[in-house]
Parts: sequence; structure tokens; C-alpha cells
Amino acid sequence: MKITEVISKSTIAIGLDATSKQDLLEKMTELVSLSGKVRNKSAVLKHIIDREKVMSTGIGKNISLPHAKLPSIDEPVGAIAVLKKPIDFQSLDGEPISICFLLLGIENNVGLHLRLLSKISRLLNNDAFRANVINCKTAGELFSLFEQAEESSV
Amino acid sequence: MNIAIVGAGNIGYQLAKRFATVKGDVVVIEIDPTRAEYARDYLDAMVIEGNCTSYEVLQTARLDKMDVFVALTSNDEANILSCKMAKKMGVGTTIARIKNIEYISPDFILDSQDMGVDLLVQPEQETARAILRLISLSSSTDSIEFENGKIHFTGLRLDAKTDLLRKPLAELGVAYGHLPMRIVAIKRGMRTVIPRGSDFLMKGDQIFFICHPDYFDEALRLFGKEDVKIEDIMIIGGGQIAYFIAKELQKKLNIKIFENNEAKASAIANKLDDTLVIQGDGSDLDMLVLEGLTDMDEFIAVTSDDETNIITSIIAKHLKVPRTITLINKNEYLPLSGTLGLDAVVSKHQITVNTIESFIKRQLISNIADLPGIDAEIVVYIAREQSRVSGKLLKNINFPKNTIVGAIINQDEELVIPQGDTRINVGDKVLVFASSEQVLSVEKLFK
Repeated sequence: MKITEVISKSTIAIGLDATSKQDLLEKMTELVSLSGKVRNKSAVLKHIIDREKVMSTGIGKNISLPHAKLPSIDEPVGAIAVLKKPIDFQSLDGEPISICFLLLGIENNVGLHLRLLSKISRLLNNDAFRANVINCKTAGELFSLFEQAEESSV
Repeated sequence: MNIAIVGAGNIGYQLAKRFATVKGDVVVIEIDPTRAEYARDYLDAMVIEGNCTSYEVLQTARLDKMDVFVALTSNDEANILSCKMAKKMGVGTTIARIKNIEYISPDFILDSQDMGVDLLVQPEQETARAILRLISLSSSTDSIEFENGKIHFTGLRLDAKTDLLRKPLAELGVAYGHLPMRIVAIKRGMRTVIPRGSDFLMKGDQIFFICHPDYFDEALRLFGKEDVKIEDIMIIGGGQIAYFIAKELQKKLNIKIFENNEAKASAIANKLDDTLVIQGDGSDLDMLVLEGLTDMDEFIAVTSDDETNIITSIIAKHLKVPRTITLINKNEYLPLSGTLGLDAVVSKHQITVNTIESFIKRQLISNIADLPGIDAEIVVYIAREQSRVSGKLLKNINFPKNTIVGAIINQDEELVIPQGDTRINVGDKVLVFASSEQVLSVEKLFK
């Protein structure tokens, strides 16, 4: 499954204004709900916050990748935001984050979930790709960035 | 040779078992009554219940008659002290297992002579060394060195990427006769085969071979393997094993260590400047993936929990990490490694037992080691004037079944990969591969 099948232009936010980690996670939950594939917003928020409590998904290089596996969705769905200004995310490297990718996976398909997470993490860990993401002006631009990246990597 | 072993735990028990087949007495000293009773029931040894630092106990163990003394209790100081006593009582070779790495540091105030110990064995360090050898030979499942690195004994698992499958070895020997390489054992499922010319290789077999170092790459290619370049390594479990590995490699490679325990994580992070230490649960697959598991060249699971090590290694394999190394502590799990599809499995106990055994055997010139999960042993013999094999061609020597000569080091210290018309000369060191029950009959040929 491709990342571009998980996100859509409606779940991309450029210049998202978040004041704190909690605020960002709430806004990401709203954003992913715009896909129409999320049935229970409060359950989503609870799952991703619980995940953060185990260990921050701020994996360094100014990226965070909050995620959860849920029984209440039918297919993986994601949202991505480029922040207006960086915020603290208790990241592993202590640096603030400026890109946030939220991924919701199906509870019964761990393999798919792991493969998607690894694809996203691999792309965003690429310095050139990350710079392009930061420079995107519109959701459409960001979406085609992922499209291009996935086409060239196949 | 008479040997006294203190501590009938995992390592002591296995060591006693191995020396039970060697001529001489085995004495086991064990303080715990239950363990002592178990040892008495299952080991062919004299078992003394008592404390190894008691002079009386050591006298009862007849240390004055012993050639080797091995102290393996969980108490470093008791091990060292009892070795010192043993030396004083006239034992030639003393060996102590220790945990505290300060004792093996080159800066430590006492050297091994001060302590009366000929060999200090630190199991984590030995395990790290074994893993480092495996990393340097990235497509292998096993790697053991003999004769100061002159002979490399390598194990690897065959997949479909080789043309050698399903052809009798004799035929392959003709086709690839120019290659100084010899397959000395095949592990198929739970069975170990010492191969003959009529045997053939199958997909999934774990094979063990000895090869001239100059031809090693060619042999790997023939087996469908290539020595891949290693750049990124992920290690889960930030204990001493991870520390020794990272310390050795951190300047050359990118290393990430996962350690769940906060205190342990910061302790290891402080000691390693060029290693990324992440405080997090190594069994948290999402996290491993986020941290780039799928881009790793090597995944090493060395937590204290076998199940975590096995499961994460299987997942890493599933996510196409080229190579995994898995630490397994429970002996019962070792034979399963092939069935589970794991690449390389290391056992701290086996490695420690091998280190001790090979040290003792080195004192007696010959050299013996066995492999995790394999029912075969490698023994190095020296052909003597009066040995039955001396001066004969290999094909004319009647070796017992399930044995094979893997390599010879001649008097010019050259490695010879033997063929049927190779002659064994007096003074040659001959490396024989034999199923455990045949070791004694091979020994007769070299007497």
C-alpha cells in the first residue's frame, strides 16, 4: 500500500498553528477525520496520546510520527502537517518538531502498519525530501511530492 | 587429565559433560544441595557439596591430583580466591568466570598472575567477540577461528541462489576442484550430517565449511552469498554485550542501541560517544521501525529475554533486514533456530563453555570446540611419529564414519585444504570434524 493511498489532499495541512504537543495531537486528530474514514475521534486521540506516553514518537530530525492501531477503522489512514512554528515534542534528540505525520492502522494488520510506518520514516529521514516538504506552499504540492517519491522508489 | 569444576550451573554442567568423555577424573564442587544432587544423578563425575573457598572442601576434592581448576560460581571474588588456593595446592591451569569487567581491564591493579588465575572469562565479552566475528563475515551464521586465525570455519544457510543444490558432493568436488574449500558438516532440520561424496545439498541447509582465506569470497559467491557491506546496525538490549560491540565498531559504523531501563540506557550512553542510545522498549516494533529498522544492514537482539530476542529477530527478517544475530540463553531453544528461520544464533553459555574448553585443550595441544545446535565437534590433532595416520594418504586412512578431515596445517605453517591424495606428515596439525560419539575413535588414529 502506498502512502498516497493513505493520505489525501484534505488531510494535509501547511502552516498548521499548534501551541503544544497536546494541541498538535488534537488538531492532527481533527485533520485525519476530514478523510471521512474515522468513526470515533475521541478514541483516536486517546490511542495516540497513550502511545506517546509509552515513548515519544518524535524520532529526531524535527519529525514526529504519532500513530495508533485501531479496531474502529476499515483501512489505514493518515494526515500530515507542516507546522507554522516548531514545537517541543519531547523528541528523542531533544529538538523541536516541525513536521508531523499521523498514521492510523488497522488493529488486525500489524504487518501492513509496520511497512507503512517504515516507508514514512524512511522518506522523512531523507534530508533532501524533508527540505522539500518544509518548502511546500500548498497541500497539492506536498501530495505530489509523496507521489513522485513513491514512483521513483518503486 | 583431571579437572575440578566449581559450580554445577548451566556452564559448569555442560563443561563437566564434555570432559566426561576425556580420560581422567571430573570433580564437581557445588554449594547448592539440589543442584549437587542433580549433578550427581546426571553427570559422570564425583560431586562434592560445599563451598569452594573452604580449604577443607578443596582438599576433599583432591586438588593436589588435579590438572585443571575451573571456578564458575556467580561470585567473582569466590572464583578468584578459590583459583588462588588451587594454584597454591599445585593445580597447573586455573580458570575463573567473572562478571565485573574491571577485573579484565588492562588498567586493573592485579594481573592474572597476582590473582592466580590463568584465564579470566567474562561471558559477555566472549559473546561480543563472537558477534563481532559474525559481523565481519556478514553472510555467515557461524564463524570460528582456529590456530590463531589461520583456519576460518564458517557456517551459512543455503537459499535457492546457488547452483550447487541437489548434486552429489563428489560431483561438485570434480567441478570445483580448484577451490581450496571443504564442506565439513550439514545441518538439515534438527539433524547434523558429516557429509560423504554421495551426499548432496538442499535449500535451507545450514552448511559448515573450511576455506583458504584467499578464496573465501569466491566460495561465498558459489554458495549464492556475497559479503555485503555493513553500515547500519541496530542493537536491542543495552547491556555489556552491546557495550563491547559498540565500543569496537562505533568509529566505523552507525550504531543504534535500544535499552528500556533508564539507568542502564544513560550508563551505556555515557560510556559510548559515537553511538546513539535510545531509551525505549526493544520489543516495541513500531518504535524499531520508526528508528529505521528496515534500513539496517544488521539487527542484533541481545536483551536478557530470549523470547524478545527471537520475536524481534523474526520480525526483522520479515521486514527484510539482511542479517540478524540473536542471543539465546535457554539451551532448549538452540536447536529451534533453524526451524524458526533465524540467521545467526549465539548462546552465552555455549560460547563460554567453548572458550574454557578450547583454552584447556590448548594446554594439551589439541583443540576442540562445538557449535550451537550442531551435534558435531571440531578437534585439532597433531600427527606424531607413532600415529597411525602419519605418512599416509587421506584416502588410504580408515576414518570412522561421520568424520571428515577439514584442514591441515603443515610444518611450514601453511594451510592445506585436503583432498583424497593429500598425505598426512609427522608434525601436521590436522583439523577433524566428527560427530560427538566418534571423537574418541578418531583420537586413537593420532595416538
